[in-house]
Amino acid sequence: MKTRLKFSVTLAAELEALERFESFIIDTCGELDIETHVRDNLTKAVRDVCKTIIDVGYAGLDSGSIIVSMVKQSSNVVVTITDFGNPLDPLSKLMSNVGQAIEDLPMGGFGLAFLFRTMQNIKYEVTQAGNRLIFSHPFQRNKTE
Amino acid sequence: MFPNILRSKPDNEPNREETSLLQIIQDERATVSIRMINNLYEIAKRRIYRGFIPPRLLTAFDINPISWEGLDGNVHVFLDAEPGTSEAKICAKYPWDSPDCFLTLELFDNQFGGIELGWIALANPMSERFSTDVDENGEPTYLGSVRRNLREEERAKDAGYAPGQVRDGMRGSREVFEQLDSFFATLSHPAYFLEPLTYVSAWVFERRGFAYVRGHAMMDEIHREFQPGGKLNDALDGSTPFRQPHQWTTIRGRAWAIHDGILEVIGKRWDKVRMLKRIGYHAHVDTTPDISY
Repeated sequence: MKTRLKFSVTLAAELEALERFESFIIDTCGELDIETHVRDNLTKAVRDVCKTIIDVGYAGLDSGSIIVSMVKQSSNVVVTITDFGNPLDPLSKLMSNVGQAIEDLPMGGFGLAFLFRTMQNIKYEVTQAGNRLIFSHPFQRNKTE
Repeated sequence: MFPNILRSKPDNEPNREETSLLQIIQDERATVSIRMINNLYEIAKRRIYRGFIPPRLLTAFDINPISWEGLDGNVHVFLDAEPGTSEAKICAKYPWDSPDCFLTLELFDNQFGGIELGWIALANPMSERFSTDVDENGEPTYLGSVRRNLREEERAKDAGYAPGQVRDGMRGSREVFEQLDSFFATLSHPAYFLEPLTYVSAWVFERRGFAYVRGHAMMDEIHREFQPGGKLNDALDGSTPFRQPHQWTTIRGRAWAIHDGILEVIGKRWDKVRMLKRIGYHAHVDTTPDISY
């Protein structure tokens, strides 16, 4: 019986870490018996967000950490990505546009179109404990269970 | 009744602290600053700062965790938290008149509304003391950043101490950080911050659940360059007692080499590393996999 409720990994905000973030998502989806297409969506969305944090949030700074955590809540998997770089102001602006057709959003090369197209309940918070991007994706267990 | 614990004020004069305290009572999420605590009456202030120290660390020396008195009747815990200031320092001593604190905790408000842990040290008062904190003329070394006492440092290194340690540790940091999480939750702070002064400190804080606000990539680079073939490994050339070839294999060994300035070979300095502890969370950072203390 699987009893772990939450999975997380903390790595330095550097491009070399992207592959390890992807591996974390793949391994965790395996632990949680999450369907392949959901796993693939989560992997790409997390990679896009982490790359944006590295390229934009930590630009010009001595890179700190990025914390990616996943938790299963009923029929959703919820992902939280925390960082301590500069807040992603464009993301805050994009948040006010959620609900518009994706092709109408002012992405400007921000690289998060896939996130907005595939994920649900997207929230972005700037707090004393870091910048937090939270999103979820519905899932069903793999048929093997 | 709560405002009665505030410091006295002339009648009818607006009291900023009272307003702040009322806000705390009315809004459970309002953060409490060190300045606000310091402005309370002495007894109220001490009640709050009492929650900062794990009781077991005091009772281990038969110090009463409430009165802060020892069996000898003397006060062993000293609080420096003056009204109007934004910093607090707690020092516990054994014996009460020792020149050194076995537990030191310093907190201060930062400019972003958060709280910084400015200093934390646990030192076994029964252990041998190495005077690495002062040079041969008795002048403070400020952790070797201003001047060094090379003879004492070499003795401390050989005795298994880390840079900056004048006495052996007390192995109580887990308790202290668990206590701090509770303390900061009480004050409604979701996180607190610190700057590790040495490589060993950063290693300890990783194990206590901290993440990096700045310097995570540098820690990865340091680990990489200490591997055989790396620039830091190559610089362990025996040129000083603190740069012996085997030192890359332990955290302490690396820390002494860094204390000796070895980071110059990768164009870095040990500064600007900043860490954060999120209350209730463990970040599980490990920038030195498979390296023992």
